[in-house]
Amino acid sequence: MALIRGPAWGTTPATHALVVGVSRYPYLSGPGASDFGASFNLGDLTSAARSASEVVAWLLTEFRKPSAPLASIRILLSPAPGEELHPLVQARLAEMAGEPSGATRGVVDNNLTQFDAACREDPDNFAFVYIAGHGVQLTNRTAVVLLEDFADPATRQDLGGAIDVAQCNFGMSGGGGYARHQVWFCDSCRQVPEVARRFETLGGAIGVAKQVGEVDASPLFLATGARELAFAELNGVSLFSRALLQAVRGAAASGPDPTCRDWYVGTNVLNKYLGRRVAELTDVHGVSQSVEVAGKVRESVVQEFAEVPQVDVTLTLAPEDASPTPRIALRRNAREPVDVPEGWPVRIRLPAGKYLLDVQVEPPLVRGFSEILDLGPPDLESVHRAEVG
Amino acid sequence: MTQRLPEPQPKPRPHPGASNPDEVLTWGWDNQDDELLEWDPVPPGTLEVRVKTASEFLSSQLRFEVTDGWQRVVATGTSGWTRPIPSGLYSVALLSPDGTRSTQMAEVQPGEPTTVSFTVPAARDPYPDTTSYLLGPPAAASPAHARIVSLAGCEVTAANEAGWVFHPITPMISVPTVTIEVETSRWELSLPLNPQSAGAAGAECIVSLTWPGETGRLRTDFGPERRVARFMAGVRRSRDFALAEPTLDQASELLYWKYEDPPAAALGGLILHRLGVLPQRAPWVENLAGAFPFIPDSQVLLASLLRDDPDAEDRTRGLDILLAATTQRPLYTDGLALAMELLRYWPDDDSAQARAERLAMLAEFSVRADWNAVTLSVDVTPAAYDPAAPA
Repeated sequence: MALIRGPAWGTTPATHALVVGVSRYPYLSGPGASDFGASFNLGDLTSAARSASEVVAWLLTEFRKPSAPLASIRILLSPAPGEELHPLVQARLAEMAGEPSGATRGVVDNNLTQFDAACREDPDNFAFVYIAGHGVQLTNRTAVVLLEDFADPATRQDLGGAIDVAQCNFGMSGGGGYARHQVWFCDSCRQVPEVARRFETLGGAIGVAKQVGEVDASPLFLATGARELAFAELNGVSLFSRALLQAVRGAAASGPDPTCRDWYVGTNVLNKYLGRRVAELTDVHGVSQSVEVAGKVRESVVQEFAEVPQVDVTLTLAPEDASPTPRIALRRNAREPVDVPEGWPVRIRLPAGKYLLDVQVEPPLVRGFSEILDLGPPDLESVHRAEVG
Repeated sequence: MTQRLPEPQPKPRPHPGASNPDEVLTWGWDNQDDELLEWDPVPPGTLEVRVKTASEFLSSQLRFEVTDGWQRVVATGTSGWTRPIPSGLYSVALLSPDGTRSTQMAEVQPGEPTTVSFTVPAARDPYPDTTSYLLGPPAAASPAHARIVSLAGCEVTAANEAGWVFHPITPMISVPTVTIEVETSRWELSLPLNPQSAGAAGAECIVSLTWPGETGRLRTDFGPERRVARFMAGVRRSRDFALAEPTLDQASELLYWKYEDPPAAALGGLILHRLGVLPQRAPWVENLAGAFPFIPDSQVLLASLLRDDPDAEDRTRGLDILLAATTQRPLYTDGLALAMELLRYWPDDDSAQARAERLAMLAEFSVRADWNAVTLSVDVTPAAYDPAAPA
């Protein structure tokens, strides 16, 4: 089992993660392709396993959730030839050499069972799931991701080599002691209609039987775009995973509220952020990819921050040569003075918050400038122009 | 207010971001005032928030969130909220009538009142010119590059170069549709028309042609007078579910119990289902499904509630309702998705063959649906839909 033990291994409540990334599909194309696999006209991906490894690296080095610290990551990667994984993850996998870590049906099924059991150890556990690979999204609520041995002629000619992510999410959203808070990410793609229609009639994908009851929150975020675009950055990371990592590194952070006393990334803001950010990233390519959310869409804390996010602020003057040089008074919450470096433009790093900016002028200038600066995520860089006259 | 909050903490601790260690948060909740936090004494002022919209209901129900200078959410409320509040900087974010957030900044001075007013100017309406459709000659002009191919259960009452206005033909027996050709593509759209409205404005919907890039797209909206319905569609698009939930809840009930706008009530139900809070609203869902069978989405919603019923007979009834509803074209994209999810993951093994058949039928919609659209919009371009079909 490709299991990485976190600092909270053996304790509860804790966070358990399942991360799957499939780029290599030997039965879909190339010399090993089966007739069944070749009929889908799909090939290897370039960045699904790499993207999954980046998510694992974030979990290992940056994830913070004091109420449920990291206990385990079950990591199953099938990189394509030449695909580079995050060095930290590469090193951890090397330490586990000999343990099956490829994302084949048998290995995924086994790890899912173990993950399922770990999540049930304590209802206050937190479950984190990220799955990337060739997928089929038949609606905005369902997604099937193909595993490495999809279309293996030695196995069944259906979805036996696939995982039904929406069904797993649905199954684990029952009661029975499951982690009450979960978050799921499916980083796949929508196939062309002719392919999608074929999958509609196939069965046998890996799933989880639902128990009676309901967890509190188990949103499932689905990247839904044309198939090439979900993995637009060749040899890079998927656009969805890039947006996700930006989000959990602070771009989707919220200030303290009744949900969490610290700055945190919650699924409600994550939902809005991912939708907007992925659209921005794909707009660069002149196409559209959206993010949908399924499952039980309730607020859940994904990441907590020990410190207030810092914002890089630039203050410029217009006109640039205004004379005598206007002076700046910057007060946090209109009360606490902030030391500002001399000269224009001003570059300063400030904790997220609201600041009252006053730019004071002397004759012959008569018009100063005043503005409330609202600094914080998603904009961790902020530029403001003070117009005087 | 349905939000659950943590129990008050016995020993408040300084917020790590507060540079003033004496400034502490104490978590509490006042059901009447929706005040989330208290501070230690600092010179207070007064903050008032007012909301003005054309809809009396929304004016009184739309919620806002007050965030302080440390970016903490310190209060939520509705129009008319007035409280003493520590002096400092604040932002007030309102869930606007179009379902998006509007934010205003405010500085509260010691001993002084500060008022933040939200009004909905015409410019905030994404379709400020739609009323002109009603005044113009019917179908005097059509959007350039687009034409109506066919209609079912509805009629065009006005058109110009930007879009069309549709009204229902009653009695309504199924979801009305229009097929529109845009350049080389062809789309079949479900139309959220309201046969219950006494007036024309409360019944209509609008299909407009937009150009987000080089490709023309069709967008379906509730008519401008259906303000609560437009709010729901806006929430669905913006996905600002958390702040919207209390308003959605009351709006859906209002639309149903007054029989004002059943199609919009069904949309509210779909959003509440997504939030996992529909089981608490079971009575009106049951009635909505029974009273308005021409909206299959409402029956799908009812089936979703019955699926989780511990009584096997109720689950069987739910499956029967689902199988009947899925012989029809859904009104909403989310209705289609929910129906397919239920068919695929129904907990019992009953009627597996019938469920597979319904799935295959609905897959004809799903594989070519525009999942960004609120109402079901399906690409039926002949060449792409079936290469063997004549153009």
